[in-house]
Amino acid sequence: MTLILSLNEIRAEAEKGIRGVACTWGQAKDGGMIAAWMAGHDLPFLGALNQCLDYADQAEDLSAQATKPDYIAAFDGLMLIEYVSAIHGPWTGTVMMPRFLVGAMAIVAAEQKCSFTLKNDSGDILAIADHDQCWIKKSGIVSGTYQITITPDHADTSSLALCPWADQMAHQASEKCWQSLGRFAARTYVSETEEKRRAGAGAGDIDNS
Amino acid sequence: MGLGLENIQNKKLNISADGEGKSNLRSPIDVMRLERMGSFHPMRLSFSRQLLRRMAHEQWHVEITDWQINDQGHGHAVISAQTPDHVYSLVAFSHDLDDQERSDRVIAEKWDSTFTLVDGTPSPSDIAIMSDTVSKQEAGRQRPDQLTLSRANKSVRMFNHVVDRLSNGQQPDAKMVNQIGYVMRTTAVYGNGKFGIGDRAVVTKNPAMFGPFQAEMLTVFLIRHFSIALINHLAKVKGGDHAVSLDADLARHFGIGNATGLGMAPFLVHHQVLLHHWMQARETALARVLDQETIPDTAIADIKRLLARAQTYTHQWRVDDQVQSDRITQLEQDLITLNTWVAGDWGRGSFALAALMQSAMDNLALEAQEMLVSILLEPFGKLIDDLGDAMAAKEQISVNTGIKTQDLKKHIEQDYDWALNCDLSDQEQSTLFWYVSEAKLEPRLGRRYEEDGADQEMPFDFAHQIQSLKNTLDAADNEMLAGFMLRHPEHRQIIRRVMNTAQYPYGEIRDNLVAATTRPIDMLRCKLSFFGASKFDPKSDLWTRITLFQGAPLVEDLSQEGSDDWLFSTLDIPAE
Repeated sequence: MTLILSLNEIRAEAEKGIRGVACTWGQAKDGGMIAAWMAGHDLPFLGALNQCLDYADQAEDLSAQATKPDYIAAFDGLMLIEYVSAIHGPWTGTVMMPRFLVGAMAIVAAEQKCSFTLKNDSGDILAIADHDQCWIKKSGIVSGTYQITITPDHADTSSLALCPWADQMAHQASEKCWQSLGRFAARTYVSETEEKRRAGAGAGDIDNS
Repeated sequence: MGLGLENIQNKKLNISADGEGKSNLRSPIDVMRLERMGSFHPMRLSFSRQLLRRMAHEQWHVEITDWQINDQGHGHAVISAQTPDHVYSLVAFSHDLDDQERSDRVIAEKWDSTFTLVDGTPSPSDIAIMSDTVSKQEAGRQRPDQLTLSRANKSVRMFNHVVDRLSNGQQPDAKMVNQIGYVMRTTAVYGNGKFGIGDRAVVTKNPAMFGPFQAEMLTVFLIRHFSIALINHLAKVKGGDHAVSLDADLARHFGIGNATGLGMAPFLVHHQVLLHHWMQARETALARVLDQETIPDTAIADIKRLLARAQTYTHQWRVDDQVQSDRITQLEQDLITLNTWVAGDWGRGSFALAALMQSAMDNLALEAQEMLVSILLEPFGKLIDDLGDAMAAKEQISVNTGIKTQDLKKHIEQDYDWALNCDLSDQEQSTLFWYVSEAKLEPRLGRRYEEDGADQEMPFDFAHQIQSLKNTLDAADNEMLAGFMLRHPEHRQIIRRVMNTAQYPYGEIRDNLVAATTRPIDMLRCKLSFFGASKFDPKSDLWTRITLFQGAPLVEDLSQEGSDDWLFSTLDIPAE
């Protein structure tokens, strides 16, 4: 089953889902915005986000593993790109779900009027975000070691595809994946009790005034 | 008090910067306090006012294009609003609702009427689908060509009274009309992508909807049109040839009620940049007006007329809430003073508006100060209406981390002294927590030391976050903020707020939102005043009833001269 979603629903649910795995509210907001950016540019995100959430949810079990990435792009991507912007230099490290870096690069590039390049450990350029535009290699962006740099002038985007704003009114998502995200988001809600229900804003259960 | 005309005639406003009457904006430190925000009134830059001016200027054509309402008042109707190059349609569904099911709570599941504003003209099959999805509201999956989703309940006693009277050939009791002010009140007007409706990016494809909440305001204005048509319809059904239509003057005084709960408060917190733009537009408008060295005679007359009208409005503004009732009593006194100040030949001296405002700030309560702001803006549309175009804004997501942590500390000390000065060892500073209930995701306020759920609180404890950040910064070396934040993602959110506040100073409320003394109603009133709401009627610290479009022109009046003159509208009530 496929659901039709608005970007605001995607942003809000992703934010809550990320918070649901005990990320900070700041990371959650970042992740929500990145997810919405990706949806708005017709890039797949939901399955990858759920993988990040599953991973983070088991983080305590996984923390001793040698393969633990330096960062999870869906949660830390914006901070990482801001770091590159601030130091005007490259950052290299391991990233889980680096496709979210593309969204982060695009958001920062647009807001701060700058440009970033994402390369894999072979030096292949996988994405460039330059002010309001973004180019991407649509396959091969898998978890691993990456380098993020400030894009030099006259960067060659010929091997990449322009990733425009998908000018569509709504966005499709798998209902199963959406429900999975919703389960993480639900962790941010407080359980209902009769006492809490009575304390809510409003005139009460019946109001015929 | 007791300032006479001679005292205020040439008095300079102490917010004046250059000694030549050029006023600076009022400081965010003063303006962004909950108590002041909770004293705001509607004004000419309010979103409902902006919408109706646009509708009048562009000569929008509004008409009921489909009326499938039966003799019991149930069915559907479509009201179209034709702009010069576009059409919007309100699709209204009127339902049979048992009295035992009528509730204004968010957690309600049935309503007297449900509505959606559609981009374009819906087909019969569209309406058939919406009759199911719209009536379910949050529980139905909506469509992206729907721009808003709303519902309303009848004010049963007003609705029945009006229908009864009209069906008997009589007009409703003016005093009751004035006191209640509506036959229907909405309990939510959703926009921006909620439950699958169109995102703001969809809504704003047409410039008419670019301003904040224009689709929502249009929805409410058309619901008002529907509500009046519905009572006329039912009166005709009931009274036949004996029935009369609602008198136009009374109809104008029917707005649409609204019951507003806590949902509006998080909105203001989450939209820092947007809030800044709203407040800055309002404060800039005030500064422009106060900068006027001389006042045209027409503006002097308008101000006097509006102050007199405000007296009547305030006299007719009656609420049960003791706090607000006391404030209204004080406002009545302050309006007497204000009217005394502007008597005679007030307004002829230099910078008389600035002097009047300064005197109000020195001598009158906040309700009166902010009411005066609304009144002073009113005659100066040509001077300030352009500011309405600057009230939309996109939130800033990224943080400029190219500064040193020492610089961040300076921003904190400059803008968050109110937070640093909170004594967090005092439980009163942490009494409340904001949360989202699993029950229809209703936003609520809990008491930390009396109930559970605080571990899922929304992050509105900014004073606590600021002090925590400051402590961490004090213990760290001066370094690039970017590196600090990567190591301390727990401070990510508050750092973003601090950096936003440095750039958008009106975007941060300068009070501790989890303190025992916090009244969420102040945040609601601030936001509602920007909508253009009037007759604030708090029912507790958590929710209020208000009226939108009370006194506004009817659809057929929009292009008439003076149709924009409905600030603090009143109704002539025959003496008993």
